[in-house]
Amino acid sequence: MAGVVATAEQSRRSVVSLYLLMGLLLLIVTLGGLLLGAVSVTLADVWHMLGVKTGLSDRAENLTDSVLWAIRLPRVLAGALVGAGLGVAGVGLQGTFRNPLADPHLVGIAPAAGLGAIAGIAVTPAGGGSLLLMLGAVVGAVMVGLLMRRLAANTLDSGQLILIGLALGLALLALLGAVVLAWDSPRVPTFNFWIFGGLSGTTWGRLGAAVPFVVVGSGAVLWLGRSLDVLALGERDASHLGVDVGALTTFSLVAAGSAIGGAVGLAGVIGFVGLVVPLVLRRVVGPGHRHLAGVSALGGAIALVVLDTAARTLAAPIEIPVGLLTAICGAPVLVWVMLRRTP
Amino acid sequence: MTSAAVAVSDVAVSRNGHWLLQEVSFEAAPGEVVGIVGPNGAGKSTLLRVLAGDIHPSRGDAFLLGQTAATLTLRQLALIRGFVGPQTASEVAFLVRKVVAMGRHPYGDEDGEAARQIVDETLQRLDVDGLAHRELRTLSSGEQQRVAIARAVVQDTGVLLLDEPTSTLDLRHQELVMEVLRQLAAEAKSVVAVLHDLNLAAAYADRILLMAGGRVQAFGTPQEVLTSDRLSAAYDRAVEVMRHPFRDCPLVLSAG
Repeated sequence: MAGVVATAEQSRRSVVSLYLLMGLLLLIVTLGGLLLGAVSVTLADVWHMLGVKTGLSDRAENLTDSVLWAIRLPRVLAGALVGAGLGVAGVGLQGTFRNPLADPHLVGIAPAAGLGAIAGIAVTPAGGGSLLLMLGAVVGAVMVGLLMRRLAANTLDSGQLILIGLALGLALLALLGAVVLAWDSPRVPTFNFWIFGGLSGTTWGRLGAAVPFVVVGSGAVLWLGRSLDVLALGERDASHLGVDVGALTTFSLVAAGSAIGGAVGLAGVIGFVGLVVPLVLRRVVGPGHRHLAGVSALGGAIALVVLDTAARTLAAPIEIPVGLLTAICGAPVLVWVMLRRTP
Repeated sequence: MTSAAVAVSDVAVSRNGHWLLQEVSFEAAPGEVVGIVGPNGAGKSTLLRVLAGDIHPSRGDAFLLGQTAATLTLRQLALIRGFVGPQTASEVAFLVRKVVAMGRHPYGDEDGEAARQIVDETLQRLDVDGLAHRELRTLSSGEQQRVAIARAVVQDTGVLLLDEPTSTLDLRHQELVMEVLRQLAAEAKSVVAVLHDLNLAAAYADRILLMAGGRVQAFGTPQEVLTSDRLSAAYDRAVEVMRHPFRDCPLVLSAG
């Protein structure tokens, strides 16, 4: 028995160490994202900007401060927020559908969020903020999430669910493309933004509108982690352990939909983050949803900050759509993980 | 209302115009093991699911600790009865210890000291302590079945319902599981188990409910219920019953 307690303690310590390590890594890549770019910036510049903006420094604001504050900092923070939201939402969907391949993109939820965002833009008055855009994205994501749950109840296996999700997602993307092309308004981001995603032009206002949806949605997925663990035993066993499976899956899809809606409203449809990050980290922390969601938030944030920094610096002054990089990096990792999966 | 731990009163269940159960009544007292036996299609598992609160009867009521099962919430049910379903291969990647600890989910104390203690004790009790740090999906079906029983024991409910709990177990572990069920009864819990092995039922059950065609054929002690005539009629096959050479109970033999 002492051995069991020691093992549990070791396990707890290693998870805490992982959180600390990933937190440190996120800090480093965030700083890297602030330093790298067309305008040369040093750590001292970052420090100066923070001092000026927080009122701790009485020195005058300079051009570098403006670049950092208005462009780079919101963009890097948006990358972290979107990556974290997609990582956690991926864990939530995988737990809800009891399918390790469930992903915001593959089950059609992210494209639905894109379509919902455009509907939100349509009803936003000229000069209005981004709140209706975000709300539209969340509503679109939640509606398709709940539709997929209904379909999942009638499908025979996990492969069918993914195929149905892919078909639905492609149809929604086609519809989204038709709407964007037909509308042709400067208020609507280009089709490229919706299919490949992008963080250029992130403003504090749009970031601020996305934060509540991503944070609350992600927090709810974390809170539901224990019940999602029990759901992994199967719906009947979970029900015998007191879990209201219908309520749990609805709440979980609303939570994941909120995080996905906020992420898509801010950065368009970015694939692979919600799939690959949890798949890789599941091998490190195991299948427990609470820790998996926690480390996937950090892992998703790190991945997207790094890839977005690469997207705007690798071929500067041309910017590579970040969704291209997540696909290029994510696809081989996905194949590797799937080939190494325990039968 | 009744003071029995488990009571079924004139229960009938109909599905698509077909009666799965009719006029089923029986009781199980605290500290009692009741074995439900009968041929395939007799309605044993349906009756167990009525008791579990999964199926609401078309007529009659099922009571758990004096409360109508059909009116309880899922959490209330989970605090009153544990349920072990028929064994199916599990692909769950959680470690065995974690799966067993999930039995504490209704209490919300999976990580607490009291839970840790009962989990450790139960792992040993069901001889799965050596498997505690293996993933559930890597275990044999018999090992998975013992883990499922351990999880229900950890749930620490007044009533334990089991559907064929020994179906995939070897001889030693069949006896072990039945002994654990007897120990639980000795702790004033009420155990109701569907059993296909009539000799296990004869050896370990205080009372046996014999079912056929969705109806109760007999309910009483093993000596009262397990008679050659009753079993031959219920199973539509010649069955001989004699005194067990080593145990104080009937021994059932197929005479076909």
